This record gives sequence, structure tokens and C-alpha cells, in this order.
Amino acid sequence: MKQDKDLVFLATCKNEDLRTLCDFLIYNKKGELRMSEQLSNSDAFLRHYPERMNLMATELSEELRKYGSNTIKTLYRHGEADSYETIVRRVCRKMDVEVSDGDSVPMMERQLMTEVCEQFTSQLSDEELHQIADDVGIVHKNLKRQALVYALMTAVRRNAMLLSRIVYYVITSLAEILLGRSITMMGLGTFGRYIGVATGPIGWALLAGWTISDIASPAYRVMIPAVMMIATMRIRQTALLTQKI
Amino acid sequence: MHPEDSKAIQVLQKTKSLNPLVRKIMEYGYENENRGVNLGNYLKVNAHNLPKIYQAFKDVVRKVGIKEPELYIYQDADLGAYTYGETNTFICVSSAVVDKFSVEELQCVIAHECGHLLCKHSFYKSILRTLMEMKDALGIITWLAFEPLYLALQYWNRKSELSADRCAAAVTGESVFQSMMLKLSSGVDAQIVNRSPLLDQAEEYHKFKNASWWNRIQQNCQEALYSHPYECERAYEIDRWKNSWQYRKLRSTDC
Repeated sequence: MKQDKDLVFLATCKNEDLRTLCDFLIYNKKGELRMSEQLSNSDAFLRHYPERMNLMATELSEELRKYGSNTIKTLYRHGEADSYETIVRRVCRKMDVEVSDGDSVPMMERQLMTEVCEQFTSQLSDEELHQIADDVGIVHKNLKRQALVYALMTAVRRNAMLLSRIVYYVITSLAEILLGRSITMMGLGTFGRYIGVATGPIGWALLAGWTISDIASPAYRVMIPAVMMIATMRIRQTALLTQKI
Repeated sequence: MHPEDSKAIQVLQKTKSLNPLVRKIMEYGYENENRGVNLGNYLKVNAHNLPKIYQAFKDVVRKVGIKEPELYIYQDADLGAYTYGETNTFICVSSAVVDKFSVEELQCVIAHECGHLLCKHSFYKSILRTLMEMKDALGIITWLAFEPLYLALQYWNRKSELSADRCAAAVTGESVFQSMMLKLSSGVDAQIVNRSPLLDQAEEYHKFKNASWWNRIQQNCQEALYSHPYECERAYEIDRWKNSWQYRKLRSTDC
């Protein structure tokens, strides 16, 4: 399979993030191996999981693309699966996220994750909203809840670092629900204390709202968390790069 | 557990309706029957009659972490071993294994059988055994009705051997496993210098099998009725697995 240009960056991502992505691809909600996964018995997995995940970035991207593609089409193309761009478009369509034909992969991923974060923000309690607003420097003394949520959503859309923090927190909660384990939250700072929110009833409502468990096709149950994880990694990398500059 | 074994068991676990019935048949049928046969015909190993072998056996059971099964030795010139049971478990080892294998290799064989007990393979092997006996008794009727299930169980059976091999390699080490496999496949006491010749043969076998569609179909059909994977495949799988974090973790924690 030819290398996908939008997934080349996986080789430079954090080990823990790649491990979470791998676990999304190979394990189901019950912690059992997925029937159609082909990664866990591969040479790359045996050699590199879980400590040197960047050395199996190619295998991860191939597995992801195979999951996101139609098997018969892939066979017809002699093993060449759909591109990651096609898969992201499909996921955005499934999640009712509006993207245009000319949008690049980073733009579509950002749009997807911004909408996820907005959903998440709207589910927080008043106290938590106030705390986040304090953290990002939004004056909220006389603001009603709706206005505060709107202000936070605007801040999320403008502030890449804030977006990356909330996105990372959402994906951590997703990992807890789908994999039964947390992932290391690096650089989240004050958001660490909000873990309880998304793993409790609100968290389930948030994710059920995105139809993780309602989605009919088993492929989407793999693809949506995987695309969200890749989007998170890319947003975080971009935010950190911007901060350094 | 080998990933293929794990996946195959997921499919088999969907036939939950048979579970309680088969468990009862096992406990009062096969387990009871086998215990009688073992006590009546074979030598039960204990600390008094074969202390060295018994000690080696206890070491393996401790490392695997299962309830101690009964160990029997039966007279047979062929190298072999088998295990059975969920409630009252036992392991039988042929006299040829005791004579021809070193203590470590014997431990490897016992660890392989303990692996089956650890992964609770006996339950599905009981279903397979029942089907095979029905096949012998009722011939074509069973073949027509149950052949797909039989083939599926044999497929799982081959994968379960890979899990048990992993247990053996984890307990005794990959090099002992390879030496045991070499003896098992050839019957001779060949020395392994750097790499087991079975591994080179495995590569040759894969090249041969993948050379054409016809070769692949032919070999798959041939293997479909086997209870065990080819010896070179078993050696190859463990050679690959020895690079994994699971193997390293299990070997470092004196599993």
C-alpha cells in the first residue's frame, strides 16, 4: 500500500498516543480482539508494541485505511485502500459535520474536533464552566450560562492551545470508556480535574450523542475514535509548534 | 493467548446454549471415564516413585499458576502428551518423551499441556471429541450435518496449540522450545547451533505455499483436518513471538 501523505506525521507522535490509536483499532469495547483486525499477529506489532510505537506507524496507518475502506474495492485495487482524506470525509458526513470539497485533512479534522469540543463544553455544569472561563481569562461575572458557553466556544475556535487541551481531554475520556484505561494527559494543566465529568453520566450522554454505540456499522465504531485520535494528535502537534514559534 | 485462538474462541463462545450440558457431560462423562483409564493403566507420578520428574512438574505448575493436575506416564514409543479436564484435570505424557527429552524439554511439554488447562481449552476439545466419535459411529450422517462445525473446531484446535506453545516458551524459554520441537518433528537429537533448522524450513514452506493459488488451496485443504499446525509453523510462530513485550515480560517475571 502506498504511504498516505496525511498520516506520515504519525511516526513523530508520542508513544502513548500511538498506543491508544493501536488499541482503538484492535480492541472492542469488551477488551476483546476485533475479529477483522490484522495487526496483533503482525511482525511489527510483536516487535514494537507497546514501547516503540513510532516504528510501526506505517502498519497503523495501513490498518486504519483498511478498516475505513470497502473490502471488495480494496481487493479490486490490489490491496490499495481508500486515502485517509476520503475516510475523514466519510466520518465527518456520518457525524453531521459540515465540510467542503476543498477542505484539507487538517481543516476537516479541526472542524470535527471543534464540534466535539463544543458539544462537550455545553454539557459542563455551571461551576465547571466558570472554572474553565477563569483559566482562559474570560470575564464571566454577569454572563448567563448560554452566553458563557458561547464565549467558551468562541475561545475554543480561536485559541489552538485551548482547543488542543479540551480535545485531549475528550479523547482521554473516550479511551476510558472504550478501552477501560486512561491515557497520559500531557500538558492539560487545569483540565485534569474535570476527568469525572466525561466518565460519568454526562460523558456517556456526550458520547452517545455522537452515536458511538448507536452507529450501525462496526467499521464506524472503529473509525470514529481512530480519526478523533489522529485529529487530536495533529491538533496538539500544531498547537505546540505554534507555541514554540 | 495467541490472537487467532482468542478470536476463534469468541466465535465458539456464541454457542452458549450448549455450555451447561457439555460441562456436565465432561464432569460426569469424559473426566470420570479418563480418570478410571489413567488410574487403571498408566503410572501416576508422585514424589515417591519419580521424584525428579515430579519436582520438574511441580515447578512448571507453579510457574503457570494453575491448580495442580494429576500427572501420568503411559507406555508409547511415539512422542506425545495430552491433557484433559476442567474440574478434575490431568496430564498424560508418553514414556518416549520421558526417555528422549531432557528435563527442560520435558518441562516444556508439560508447560504446553498446562497452557491448554490455563486457557480452558478442554471444554471445546470435548465438543470436538464428541463430534469425532459421532462421525466414527454414524458416518455420513454426521458428516453432512456437522462437517462445517467440525472444520471450524479443528481450525480453532490448531490455533489453541499456538497458545499452548506460547505458554511452553514462556515457562522454559524459546531455545528449549525450539529444541523440543526439533525432536518432536524429527525424532532425532539434533544440536541447534545458532538457529533451529525448522525455522529455515518454515521460510521455505511459506515460499512454497505462497508460490501459487493452487499451492495455497492444496496446503489449506490438507491442513484443514489436522489437529495441530505443522511443526515448522509452530517453531516459526514462537520465533516471532520471542521478540514481543509479552514474552519478555513473562520471562522476566518468572511466570
